[in-house]
Order: sequence, then C-alpha cells, then structure tokens
Amino acid sequence: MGLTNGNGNLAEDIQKEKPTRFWTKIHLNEWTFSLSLLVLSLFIVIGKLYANYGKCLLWKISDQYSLPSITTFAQVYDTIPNISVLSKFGVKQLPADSEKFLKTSHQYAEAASNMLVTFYERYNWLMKATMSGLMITSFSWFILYKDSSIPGVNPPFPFSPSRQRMVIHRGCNRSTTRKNCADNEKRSVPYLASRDNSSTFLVHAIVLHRPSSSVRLLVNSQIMANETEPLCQQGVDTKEDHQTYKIHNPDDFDRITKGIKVARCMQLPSPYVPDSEQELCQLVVSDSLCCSHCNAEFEDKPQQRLHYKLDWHRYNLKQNLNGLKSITEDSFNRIVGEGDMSSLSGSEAESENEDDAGTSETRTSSNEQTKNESASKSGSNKSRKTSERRGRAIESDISDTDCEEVSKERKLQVVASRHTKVFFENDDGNIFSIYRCLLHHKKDIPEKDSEMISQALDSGKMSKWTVIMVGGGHFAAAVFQNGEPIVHKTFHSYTVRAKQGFAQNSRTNANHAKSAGASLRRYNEASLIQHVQEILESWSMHINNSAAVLYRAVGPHNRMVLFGGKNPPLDKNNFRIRPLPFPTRRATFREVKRVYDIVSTMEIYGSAADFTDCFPNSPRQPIRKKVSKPEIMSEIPEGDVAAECNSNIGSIGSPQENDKFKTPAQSTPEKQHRNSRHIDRAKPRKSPNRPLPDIIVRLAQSSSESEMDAQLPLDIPLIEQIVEVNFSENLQAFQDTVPRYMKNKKANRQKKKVKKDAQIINEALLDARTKLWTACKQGDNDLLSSVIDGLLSKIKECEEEQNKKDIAVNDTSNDTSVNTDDVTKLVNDTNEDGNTMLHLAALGGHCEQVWLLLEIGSDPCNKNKKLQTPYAAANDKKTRNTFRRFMEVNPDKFNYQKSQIPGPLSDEIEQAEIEKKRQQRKLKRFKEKIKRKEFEIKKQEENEKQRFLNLSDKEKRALIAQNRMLSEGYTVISRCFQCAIDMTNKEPFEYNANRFCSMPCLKEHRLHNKFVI
Amino acid sequence: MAVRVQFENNNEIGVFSKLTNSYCLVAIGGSENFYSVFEAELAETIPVIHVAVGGCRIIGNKNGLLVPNTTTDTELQHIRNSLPDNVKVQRVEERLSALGNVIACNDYVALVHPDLDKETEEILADTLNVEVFRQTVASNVLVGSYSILSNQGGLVHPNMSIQEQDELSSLLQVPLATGTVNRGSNVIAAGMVVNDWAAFCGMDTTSTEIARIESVFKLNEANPTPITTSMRAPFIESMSDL
Repeated sequence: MGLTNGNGNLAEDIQKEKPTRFWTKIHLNEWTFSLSLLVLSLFIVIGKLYANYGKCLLWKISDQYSLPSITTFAQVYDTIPNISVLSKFGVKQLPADSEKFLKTSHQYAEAASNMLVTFYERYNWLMKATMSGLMITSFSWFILYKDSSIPGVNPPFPFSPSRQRMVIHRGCNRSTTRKNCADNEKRSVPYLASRDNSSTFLVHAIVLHRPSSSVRLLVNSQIMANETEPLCQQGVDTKEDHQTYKIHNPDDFDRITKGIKVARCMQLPSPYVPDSEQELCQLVVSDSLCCSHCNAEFEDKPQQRLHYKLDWHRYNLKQNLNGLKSITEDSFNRIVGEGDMSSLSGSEAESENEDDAGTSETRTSSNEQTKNESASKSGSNKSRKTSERRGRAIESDISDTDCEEVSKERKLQVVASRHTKVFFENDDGNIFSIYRCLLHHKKDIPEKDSEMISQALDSGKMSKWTVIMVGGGHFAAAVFQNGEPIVHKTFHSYTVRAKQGFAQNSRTNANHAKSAGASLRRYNEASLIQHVQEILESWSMHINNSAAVLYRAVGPHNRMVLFGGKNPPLDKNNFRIRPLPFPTRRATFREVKRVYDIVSTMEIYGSAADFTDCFPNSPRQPIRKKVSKPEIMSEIPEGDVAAECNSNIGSIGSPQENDKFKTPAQSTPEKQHRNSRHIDRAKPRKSPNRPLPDIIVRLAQSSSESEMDAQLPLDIPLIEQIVEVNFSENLQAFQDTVPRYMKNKKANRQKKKVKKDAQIINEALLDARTKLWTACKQGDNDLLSSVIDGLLSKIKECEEEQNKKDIAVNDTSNDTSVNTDDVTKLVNDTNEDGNTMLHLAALGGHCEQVWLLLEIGSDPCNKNKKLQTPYAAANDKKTRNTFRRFMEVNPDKFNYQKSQIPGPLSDEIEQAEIEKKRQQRKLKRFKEKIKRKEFEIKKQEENEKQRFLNLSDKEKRALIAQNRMLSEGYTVISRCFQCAIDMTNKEPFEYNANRFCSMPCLKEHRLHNKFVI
Repeated sequence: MAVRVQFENNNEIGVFSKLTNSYCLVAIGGSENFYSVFEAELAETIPVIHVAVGGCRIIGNKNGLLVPNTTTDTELQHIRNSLPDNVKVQRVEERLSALGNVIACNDYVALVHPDLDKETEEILADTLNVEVFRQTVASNVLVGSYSILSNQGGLVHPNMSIQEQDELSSLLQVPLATGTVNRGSNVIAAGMVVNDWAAFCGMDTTSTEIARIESVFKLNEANPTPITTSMRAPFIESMSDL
C-alpha cells in the first residue's frame, strides 16, 4: 500500500542505515519526540528497578509470586489481542466473542482485584516511578498539544475517541458523525503507526471482497431501529382538509374511482408547438390573399394593398381592438351613409372610447333601467343610437366575462397538464388526483383518456412497488407490498468529503488523488456502487415483480450508481422505472417510507368548481372554497331587486320596508370583500349600490302616502299584487350613478320633445316665429314690434275667448288659441348654435329688440352653445346697459342670477357712474402731471450730472471752490492771489494754479514761495 | 451579424438609436462605448450621427427621416447638416408624436398605427417613399414598437398568429417571423435596430434570439459565391475545351 510513510519505515531504516545518518533520517516530530520521552522515562524506571531489586525480583518471580497472578496476566493478555484481532478482522463474530470475553472477565475479576491489591502493597514504589514517568510523558504531550497548530487534531490526542474507533471499527458506519469521519481521515494517515495503517487497509481489502456481510450487519441494525418508530404521516394526512386515501386500500380505491374519467382541466387541446428551426427554414414571403380582421379575400395583390388603406379595414381593426366583431363592407357602407362615423377619424377616437367606457361603467344602472322599462312597459323614449350602444356594451361585458373564464380555464389546463399529479373526476363529481409517476413514465404519456383511465385503474391493483433513493453516499431502498415494506436496506458510504459539500468524482481524474482522504473517498465511491449493485441484484426478483420502480438519484454520479457500469442494476429505458416527482430528504428508510406514503396517496379536492377556484393556489389550502357563493348572491340582477322594491312601495307603501328590503343587497358587496382576501384594484368594478338620498326617500314617501290613503280600506295590505308604478321617470333625475353627460342628453331629449309639441299645437305661432327670427337676424325693429304687438293682441283675444268658453263649455282642444306660455316658449326657442332670439339681438346690438324680447318673456338666463348668456354675448356696452336697465325696471320678471348681468342700471346710477369716472379721470390727469414734473426734474439733474462729468478734474475743483465761495456770500469770484484786486474780467497770469493780476504780483508771489518749484 | 450593445446600462437601444441603410442616428449622452460599437460596425459605410432626438421618436429609412414636432430648429438643422444630401428631413405635426412607436417601415413599405393622421400618412408616403398600411400587430396598435422591418425580413411580436403573419408578410412582401429580444422582451423595436446588413440588439439578448434575428434578417448568410454554383459548369466546360 502506498500510504506507509516515513514513520512506518523507521525501524528498517534504523537497522540498515549507518549511525551517522541516523539523526538525519529521524524526522523528529511531536509524536516521535513524545514517544522517545516515554521510552526514556521507562528506561529510567526499569534501570532503577533493576539496580535496586534486580536479584530479589528474579528470585521472587520464580518462587513467591504464585501462578494465579501470572496466569491471570497471561490469560488477560491472551484475550486482549484476541478481541482486537476479532474486532478488526471478523466484524460478524464480534457479538459472540464479546460475550465470551465478558464471561471470562467475570471469572477473573475477583482474582485480579486481589492480585492488584497485593501488587500495590508490595510495589508501590514501582507504581510511583511509572506514574511519574507517565506524568512526564503526559506533560510533554500537553505542551505539544497546546503548541500544536490545531489542538487535538494535529497531533491527535492519544486518548481521542475517534482515534480509538479508528483502530477498532475501521470504516465509517452509522454511529460516526460526518465530522468524526473527517477527523479520522485527516488524522489517520500522517500520524498512525505503520501497523495501524496496514491494518486499516487490510480491513478495507476484506470489506471490499466481502462487502455484503458487513453492510448487511449495519443495515439490519438500522432497520430494527426504524421499525420501532411510529409510522409517519398517516395521522397527519387524515387531519387535512382535503380527504386523502391510500391507493393500496382496495375499498377506498374502488369507491373513489367509480365512474372515473379524466378531469376537464387535464384535457389539453393539442398545443401548437412551433418548431423554430423548421420555421426558420421556411421563412418565405407568403402569398395569402386575405384579411383576417375583415374576413375578406382578395383576387390579386393590388386589391389586397388597396384594402389595407380602406376605412373599412381601419374600422374593423378598431372593432377588433375593442373586442367587438368585425363588420362586412356592406354594413360599413351603411354606417358611413348614416353618418355614424365618429370612431373613424383618428382624432375623435378617444372620445369614442371614453363614451364606451362611460357606458360600461354605468351598465348596471342601464341594465336596471331597461328592466324597469320592460316591467312598466312604458314607451321607450330612448333613441336608437343609445340603445344600440348600450347593447354593445352589454355584449362586450358578456364577452369579457367569457374571456376571463376561458383564460382562467386555460391557465388551469396549462398548470394541471404539467402537474405531477393527474386529476380525475369520479361519479360523485369529485376531482381526485393520483401521482403521475404511478400511471406512466413521463416519456410515455398516453394521448387517449381511456388509456389514462385504464392506467389509473391498474395503479390500484399495483401491489408491489420499489422505492430507491441514492444521494450523498446514502442509499435507501425498499420494496413495498400493499403498503408494507417487505425488504429494505439502508447504508451510507463516505463519499462526500467533509466541508467540501458535494461529491467529488469530478476530481478523480485530476491530480488531487495524492491525499488519503481522496483515496478513501474513491474507495468508498466504488464500494457504494458495488454494494448497491449487489443489493439490487439480490432483490432482482422483487424488482422484476414490482409494478413501478420509483427512484430518486440527483446528478450524474448518483444516477450512475443506479444506471451506470457494465451491468447496470436498473435499465434506464424501462418505463417501469420512474423518477420521483418531488425532492426528498436524506436517503433513509424513514424517508423512503414517507415518500411511499406521499406517492400512494389519492387526494380528493371536491367538486370541479371548487377545484377550479382553488387549484392555482396550493391545493392544500381550501380558502377559496366559499368565495363563489357571495358572488352568486351579488350577481342577482339588481333590476329585479329594484322592480320588487317598486312593487313593494306600490303595495305596502312604506319606505322603511323598502330600506329593509334593500339592506341585504347592499351588504353583499361588503361581505364579498370580507370573504375574498385579495382585492384586485385594477379591475373595473360595479358602481356600489348606495342608499338613495333622503330627498328621494321623502319624495317616495309623499307620493306613496296618497296611495296608501287610497288603499287603507283594504284590510290586508300584504296581499301580493303586482302594481306597476313607474318610478323610474321620477327617479331618473336623481340617480347619482348616472354621469352628467347622460343627464344632459336626457334633458335635451325632453326639450326637443316639448318643442315638437309646441310646433304641433299652434300653426299660428309658426308664422310669428319665423318672422321673429328674421327680425332678430336682420335687426328690423319695426317688424319685431309689429309681430310682438300682433302676438300680444292675439293673446288678449284668446284670453277673452277662453273666458267666454269657460263659461260656456269646457272645450279645451283649441288649436288656434295662443297664450303667454306659448309665446314665452316661442321666444326662448333656440337655433342650431343654441342662440335664442335674445342672443341674436344682443349680438347685433339692437337695444330696442332686446328690450322688446325681454318684455315678452325671453329669458336672459338662456345659454348658447358657447355657454354665453345674451348679456355676455352682447358686443357693445349700450346693449349690455339695456339689459341692466331692464333689470332695474323689472327686477322680479326673471331670475337674474344666472344671466350674468352684474346689476340693475338706472339713470341716477349712470350719472353717478359718469361722475365717478370723470373724477377718476381728473385724478389720473393730476397724477400724470405730477409725474411729468418729477420726470423733468430728474432729467435736469441728469443733464447736470452729465455736464459735470464732462468737466476736467481741474474745472471740477474750481467749480467746487466757486460754489463754496458763492455760498459764503462772495459775489466776486476771481481775485489776484497777491494783491487781491478784482480781476474778473481780465485774463490772469498764473503759475501752479495761482492766479495774479499782473506779472509783478506773480513775481513777488514766486519770490515769497521759492520752495514751490 | 448582430452585435450586442448597451446604452448606459440600458438594453433598450432602439430607444436611443435609429439605423437605416443610409445613415445611423445615435442619441447623445451615452458613453463612448456605445458609439464606438456603432462606429466600428458602420462608420465605413454610413454616417453615424449624434443627435438629440431618440430613436423611438423618429422614423426614417434610406430615403428620408420624419421627426416629431417637439424637435427644435437647432436639432433639425443639425440633423439636416449631418445627413446625406439625398435624405429628406421633415418635421410632422402629429398627435402621436412618438413616431418610432407608431410607425414601422423599411425602404418600401410602412405599417402605421390605425389612428395616425391622414396628413402624416401622406407626408410619410412622400418623404420616405413608402406605401403605407394601417395595421395592428398582435392586437397592438403600437406597430412601431412591436415589430421591426428591414428589406430582408421582419421580426414581430411573439403573440402574432400564424395567419396574421402570413397576411402581413404577403402585404409587406418580406418574410416575417415572431421573436423576442433582450431575454424575452416583446418590445422588439425598442430592443434592437437593424438595416439590411447589420443589426444591434440589447446586451441581454440571448444567443438563441440572436440566431433568430440573424436568420430572419439574413445577416449571416454565407452564401456560396456564384463561382462555385451557377458559374461552375461553364467554367469547367471552358477548361475542358482547352
């Protein structure tokens, strides 16, 4: 064996080599040093022993010391090597030998103790000497231990338990922890004596040749340990929400699989898997002449190209984008003809979308409305367009929910078809699952449901299964029959080096093979494979009989254990041999049993609907089960509720009842929110069902009170009776869910209707109307006044007639009658821009017309489409003043609040205003004058400054002096410096800025001030 | 050959560059790394111009370039000065101002957003010399983002159905294929730029995606030269005559 190191060869070296080279040969390390110390101390002791008692010792041995002690020693000495040898070489026989040893030890215990006592009494000096020697040794050991790089490991402590085990047990069995194994490996090689090493490898060699015996020993002991433990899992499973049954229980299995069929979620429509490479080869320009958006086919390319530029195509594109059906060319042309082209121009696309969104938002209310209408059978006054749009919205709504369901189902299908379990449905409509690995190999998925079902039924009859797990040097395998393990085996080989973390077979080929740990590992790897193969070979009958062999072997190395080698124990291509579909823990018998338990479990999930709800989440969490109920509750059409409410109001007539009735419907959404944990805020939701405002309740009360009075004579007010009370008309205006633009539409519609009625009623007014309009447009005062006079006179006539007729007959149907209301209506009529006659008059600046129109009742609060009142529309001040004057004269005729007229205007006010304005103007002029003055002053100052700046420094100085002099009251500016004669008008003589009247003065000055030059 | 490139740690290089057969525009503000990749690949053939408008805002081909109304006069002038003389530059007043997102074009055809103005469509047809089709790509109106076209082929959004692809490819007369860039990004035009002989895609693009891009746009066609194929027989014949 290549591992015997320098120490091992030491004895031979000593004998063969010369003494001079002896010291160079000894690698005196810690171990040899301590050994030599021990030897030295022993020599000292023995030497002293011999010197003191040499003769008597010899004599006493032959005579006095009786045989028993010697024989005792001899026997004990015999047994000890026996034990060690047995433990090393014949692990199988160990129990028997140890028993024998125990018996003998009992016999000799007393004799030994006696002997020890006498021995100690006589030879305590010897003991002392030995003890002191040993203490010296241990002290040196201790120092070495403390001094070593890794205490206790390098060098190993002599009494280290791992070291002991190394000698006795050899290989790493179940009782050694992984750490100890590592310690063994590290320590053993460099520090063990040669004998130890050789014995180690001897053991390995034996184990290598007879592996099964030793392994079996360990395996058996572990099995015994495991079987005493309670069965795992089973108790837990029964407590779970989903019912679980064991597949090997024939009663349960038959009951559950009654009427079995594959669950709908498993039936995946054959998915189109694009073969990318193939596709890439076929990359060609296709010549399909059709448009799928418009369902149109073309004869040739030009036609096709033309099509894509058509508005029809564009319209269909947008229809498709909105999830609507495409339309044919004919119907498109019809739409175009009708002018309903709002969605076609790109710029208006958004408004169209908004419109749609608005409708869909309020679809609940519109549903309600339609239902109310149908219930009350009142004539629908909705235009065709809106009803059409609403219909479309509803349709899209339906398609939305459909889409949602479809997508959910599809998602489920995708998940379920890839799931590790296969889902079936039985007679009771329950969904249950069986692990896919029990039915078929994953490469052998049957395409027909019938095959799947037959496989599922077969799986119940499968009595014998094999579960094999390999990983990290652990091996565990068991053959189960009807839920009970019949044979099983577990063992562990040291193949994963400590703190390296993974199998290192990748390093086998590299140069790391030198270390002993690596060689241990390699040896163990080989032995693991061999053991496994032998085990599986011995189980071949079981394995061949078992219906499924489930294995867990992660990674190429582990798989090689099962499938590699010249004679692989398992055939990779056999479809009976299937991998486990989930990760497992360390391969132990317990884990094997757990895995078997999981795999053999059939889970029942309840009905298909529940299953669909809960499936995308973990199947073991049945939280979503009850979500569907409140949803159904809330989906009760609210129109029905409203109709019933109406009927209640009609029959019972108490709003409290109405409230009571409504409360459950209102509370349902809340309940729903409470139940469903997650609220998808991105999703469009129905507008909340809020209680009606107080005013409406009061209105309903008041209206119902009168009816209640009528019904009071009835004794039983609770008779079920369908009384149609058309509330919708009254309530529509108050519906808070209706957006404003819809309200406006309704209002407009009503207005139009009224207008139409007015037109029909009186043809006499029509003539006046046209005249009025023309008058207003042209600004013809005469025409207007004449028409108005005519109208007024007619009103008077009519009133008189009316009075007469009231007296005579109650004949109301009078076509020619004209009253003030009609005229007011007529005057407040609007044209296409929303302008009334008053607007036109105001725009034209015809003050008199404005006055006249206001007088006959044209409302100044009407707004045109620019949202201008006539006052705001007026162009000039005069017209605006006309409005104000009218307001002054007739303060109560109209409600001027919305007319934007700022206030009344009388002459006095006007005068006051004019006065005020004049004052203001005066003030302004005055202020301007002051400002101008200030400006001038400032300008002067500025000029001064400029002039001053233009002066030279000398001049500036002169100026300052001059100013000073002036301020001091001097009138004469220039004097001679010497004689002080006034020389203002003379040209001065000067030197150094000193001025003089004459040269003599200058000369004199210079003479006096000589130092200057 | 498709090259991976990154703009300041951003893989959406289509946003920062525009590549056509006659010029390449790159956004300013990037590192020299970004520019040098383009310049190394293209500088010998077409000008690489640093401009301030990003690739998603502009649209162009070898004939012309359209810029949105947000382009300033100086930017426009700079572009005009830098581009080859035969390239027309036009500013359009379009509501959908990210022109690169709403228009996909090669040198002959253009796909546009269904809501694009008629006026813009006309300008597009005049400036770029293309035939304009209004279409959607996989139910998406942003045709410029979800598809990219060259004269050799086109890559479209992966959700596009086979039928739709057939129709579109027959309409555009280029082979189309679905695909992704940048490790599965659907926004193809944002992740890559391509012309007839070069393509640049984001740094995240996988080799599978690159292989697809190269095969669709015919970038790695090592076509056997005519000498070895069609001219082979005549050559041998003439040789044998001698």
